[in-house]
Amino acid sequence: MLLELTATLLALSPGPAPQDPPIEPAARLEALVERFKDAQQAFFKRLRAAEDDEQRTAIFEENPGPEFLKEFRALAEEVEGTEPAAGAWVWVFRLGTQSSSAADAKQALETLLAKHVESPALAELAPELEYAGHVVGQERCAQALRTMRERSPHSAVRAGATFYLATNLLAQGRRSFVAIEVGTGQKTGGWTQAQSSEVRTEARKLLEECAAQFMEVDHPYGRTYGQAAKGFLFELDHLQVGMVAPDFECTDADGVKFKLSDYRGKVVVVDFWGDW
Amino acid sequence: MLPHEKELVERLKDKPFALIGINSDGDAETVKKILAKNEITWRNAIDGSTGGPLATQWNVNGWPTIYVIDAKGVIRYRDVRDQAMEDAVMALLAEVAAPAK
Repeated sequence: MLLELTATLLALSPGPAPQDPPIEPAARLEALVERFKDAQQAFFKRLRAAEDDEQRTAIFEENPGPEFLKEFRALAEEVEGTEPAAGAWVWVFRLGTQSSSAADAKQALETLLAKHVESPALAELAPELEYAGHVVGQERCAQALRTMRERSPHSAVRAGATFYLATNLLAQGRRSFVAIEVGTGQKTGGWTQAQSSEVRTEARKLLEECAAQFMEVDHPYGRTYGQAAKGFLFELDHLQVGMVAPDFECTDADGVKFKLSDYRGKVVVVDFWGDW
Repeated sequence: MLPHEKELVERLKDKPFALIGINSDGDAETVKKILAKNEITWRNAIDGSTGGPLATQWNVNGWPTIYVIDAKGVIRYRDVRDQAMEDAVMALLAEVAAPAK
């Protein structure tokens, strides 16, 4: 991100320096991002220090997101037509999604697709679309990702759009099964092998494409998009309801090694968890 | 979630049932403290972090993630919690007691 901004800044540097050079849009965006990150860090720190729910609720009111959203939108509108405007709209989308401000998120998304579809800043939009379904609609997120996949000249954008379109489709597919009742002997709580739908077939194709083409493109949460796609393909192939659970060997808290297959003959709940 | 799991483990201690935690909090020493603090008696695998080898292999992207596996090793339910998890376990225990023909 920083590197990109610096590069953009250099690219936008004017020829002869005027006497009082106006601050470049890229520098303004960078400064605003820094200010927001500081404010957010301070906010989280206060939140962690809260002693009870009452205090937490009060501190939540001081969330800097909504105020900064306004600043990002003002900057985006002012410098519209420049590359930093795209970066600012991504922030409007991110903060709009986080604060469930549908109007802001929708405006940002439509502006980005209409005016900045070739911007490298869209690489940061793709992951945001994963959790934006409740704000702008899961279908709209999928459409946006399709547009980015087809029209972006940047592999980082296409990698993200391909990957998150796949997970978006899988999430849509999953949601349609979870309503089945438990306890009736019916398989439920997830997908079955038989429930392969058009949506899943397309998701698999996208994941395979991602694993084949984007093994070197960094995923924002670590690893690469290609590796992350391989994880989802493993899940589709080995971790569906009705499949024999893949065996694993591990070490328990007492240093004793054990395997999942040691538990054959027993009903086993495997609970991936953390104390946070 | 946790109180219900504890109650279930205690109630089913004589049944062919096991709850296995795959913990992402850190090394064995860290996890031991957490288990003691929460009075967790069941077995926990040390996965080290949310990017640990088991979480990575099983493509876990959200916590908790729950799989319910039958006595033959087949995945039968996913992401069932509390009463739904208990219902799932009881249904599978009934299969062990009276195998389907």
